[in-house]
Amino acid sequence: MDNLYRTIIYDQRYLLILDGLKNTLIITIGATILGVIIGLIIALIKNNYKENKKYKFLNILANLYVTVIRGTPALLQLMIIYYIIFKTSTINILFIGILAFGINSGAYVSEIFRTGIESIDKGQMEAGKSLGLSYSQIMRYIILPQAIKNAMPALGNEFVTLIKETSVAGYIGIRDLTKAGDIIASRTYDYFLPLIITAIIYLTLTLGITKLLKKFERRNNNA
Amino acid sequence: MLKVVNLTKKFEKTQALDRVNLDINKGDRIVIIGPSGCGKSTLLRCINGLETPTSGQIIYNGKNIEKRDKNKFRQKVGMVFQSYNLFNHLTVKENITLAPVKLKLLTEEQALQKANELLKSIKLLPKINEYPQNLSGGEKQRIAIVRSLMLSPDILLFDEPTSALDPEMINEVLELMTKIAKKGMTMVVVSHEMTFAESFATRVIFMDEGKIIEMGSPDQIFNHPKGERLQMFLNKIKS
Repeated sequence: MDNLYRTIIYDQRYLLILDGLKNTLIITIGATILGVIIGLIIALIKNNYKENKKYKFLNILANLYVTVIRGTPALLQLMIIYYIIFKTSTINILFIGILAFGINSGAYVSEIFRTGIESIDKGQMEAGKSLGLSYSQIMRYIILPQAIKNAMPALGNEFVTLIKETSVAGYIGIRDLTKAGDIIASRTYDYFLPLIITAIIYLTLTLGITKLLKKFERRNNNA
Repeated sequence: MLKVVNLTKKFEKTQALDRVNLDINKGDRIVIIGPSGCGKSTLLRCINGLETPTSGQIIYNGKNIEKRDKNKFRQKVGMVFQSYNLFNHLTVKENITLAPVKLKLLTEEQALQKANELLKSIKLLPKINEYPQNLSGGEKQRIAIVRSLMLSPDILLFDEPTSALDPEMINEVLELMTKIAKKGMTMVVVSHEMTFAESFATRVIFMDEGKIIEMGSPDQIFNHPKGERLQMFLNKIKS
């Protein structure tokens, strides 16, 4: 009981946890939005090349980006962006976190969208073409609405994954949820409670969001 | 109206089309028959550019169709597919008004009015707000035909329009096609419905191995076939 008091209440340590949770969510949500934007652009570049043989150079860049990001650790990418790219800048550290995890997530999201687009029967594209619609009109009004709907469950999973992935943000000094647990532990000289509490919060978050997404998905399928 | 000149299409190993020449005139109703894999579908798909020919030309109103006017050309040459290809995420109304509105051929009100008229004429007006998944195969195909008609095309291409349908739904689609034909629409139909071809076509084309083997009136093709291959083909489908 005394331990619990010292971990959460004393010195208003619950504020540390809440603040960490807030930062974790800000980074995750920001990175997801950025990741979806990047992922969509990359997927469209790749599809445009595949369908129309257009923008070959962009397609090479897109492939390079996906290969490099997926083939290197997220933590390393975070460190490179923080220590090398933004070395001398005084930019908000949360922003750097969003940027790094967003760029990381974009590579995975682009694959989610690519699979989503490719899952659409090619007859849909052909029907659009046969009506005289342009490639971009077909993508916008016919393919993407269906592809994105198909990709929603995988996008939800990506969001849940990001919640956990951002736990390395403490490495560059971001006070996220994991870092908060770590700080409290270092003050109470007891690692057990702070880390377990942190873990329970993560678990609640991921389980809760997964459940929410499932509900959303079911409603979507019924519509 | 539309001329196919020396059209050749090679896929990796097979020669799907071999120097095909064909003149399509206004008011023609051409039915293309032939064994599967003879290139009849590929011919249709080349005509409206879903496949790029290996060589040869498509000449429309005296002009060679190049890549850049392909989309404009396609507005004038409608296509109906074997698998309907209605847009699954859109209602019947949205399916048929999307193209004319986005292509700025009609305003939204004009498109809606035209959609209403066309749907009424095929007795599917009550389904205007349904999604394709709630329609029968025959209904889907008739909606797909209406979707092509919305652009007031010069030519309609039909790629085995009844092959995916249950037998009891085939007639409703064929009846609609006959109705459209009566209004003078130029139509090219790939079909296995021989009785339909006999009464519907002004010209029947028999294709085999990527070539046009015989061409003539339904009476010539079905009752007085010249070549051995056509005779064999007709015997096979009769038995």
